[in-house]
Amino acid sequence: MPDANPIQGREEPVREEANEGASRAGSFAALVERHSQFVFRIALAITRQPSDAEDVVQETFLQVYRGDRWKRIEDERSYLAQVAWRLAVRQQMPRKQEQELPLELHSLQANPEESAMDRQLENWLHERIDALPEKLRQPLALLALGDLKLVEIAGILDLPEGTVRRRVHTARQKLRQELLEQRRKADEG
Amino acid sequence: MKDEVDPLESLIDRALASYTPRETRPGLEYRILASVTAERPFWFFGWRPAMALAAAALLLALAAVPAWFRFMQPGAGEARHPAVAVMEPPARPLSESAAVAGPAQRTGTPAAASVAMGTGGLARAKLERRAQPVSRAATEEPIELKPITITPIHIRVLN
Repeated sequence: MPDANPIQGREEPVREEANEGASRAGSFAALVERHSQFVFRIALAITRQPSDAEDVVQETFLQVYRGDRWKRIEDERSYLAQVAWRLAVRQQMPRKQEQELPLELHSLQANPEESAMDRQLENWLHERIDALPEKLRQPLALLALGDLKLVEIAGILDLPEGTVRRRVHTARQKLRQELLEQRRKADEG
Repeated sequence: MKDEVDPLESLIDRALASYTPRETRPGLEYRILASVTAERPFWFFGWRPAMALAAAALLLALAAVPAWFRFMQPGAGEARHPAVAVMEPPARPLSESAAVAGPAQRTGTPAAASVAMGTGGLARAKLERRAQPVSRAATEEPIELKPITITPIHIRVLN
């Protein structure tokens, strides 16, 4: 018996192609769904501006999408983090280094553990972190995300893990010294 | 024995924890996908449409080549551009010429100026003679058709 619908055979490849396109778009959407917020936070840690960070996220996914790179990624998180970090550093506005910021130290008393860290002290510390040299600030900020291990940060920054650990330690030491200095000034005052 | 927690380290930890806010950007995924879709190239839709597009472009190019050669052949312009007669301004009766004497005077034509000033019959007669409609065939030699090369079109402004 002849085929009732002779065109039916021809529809199959078209349908397969459409399915392929849909699954392709779907899997890319899934990738975006999985990692967009993570990439956003990395970009924000570097740029410090939400609008700039979002631009970086969009550019990151566009770059990954172009040339079908996203299909060949082995470690999605590391790869995306690396691309986002590179773009964010490029996007980052030059910041004033080592600016002197005033702080009213009513909250930084002799027993800081007893005083709640208020918003002002928190902001002051954020500004001190911002004022750190980039080579110290970036590993510290990436580690502060809480999503990345030292080895992953080392991969993103393309540095040995030991170097990253040392830089994080140095950054924390600097912040600690500044806090001690502020406490000393507060005690003298 | 429990290790003592350095209060300064604790402060730094807390500051670092809030250094990069955990808040998300609502709709971020949609905006990313929208920007990707906006940039989606034609080959996204598969190789068949791309091949069809390329084939169509090739056919169009092949069809255009003979037409181009036909256009570039010498003499081809004659058929497309029949002889163009030179247009001259129609002759005007004296009264009309006199009516425009004002502008003519401004342009400095002596005859027109004389009409405008009301000078006598000689000038008027000359003007009338000039204003007579003259048969083109009687005064000019027949138009010779030459192969037309592409030249800028001169537009003669009447008046």
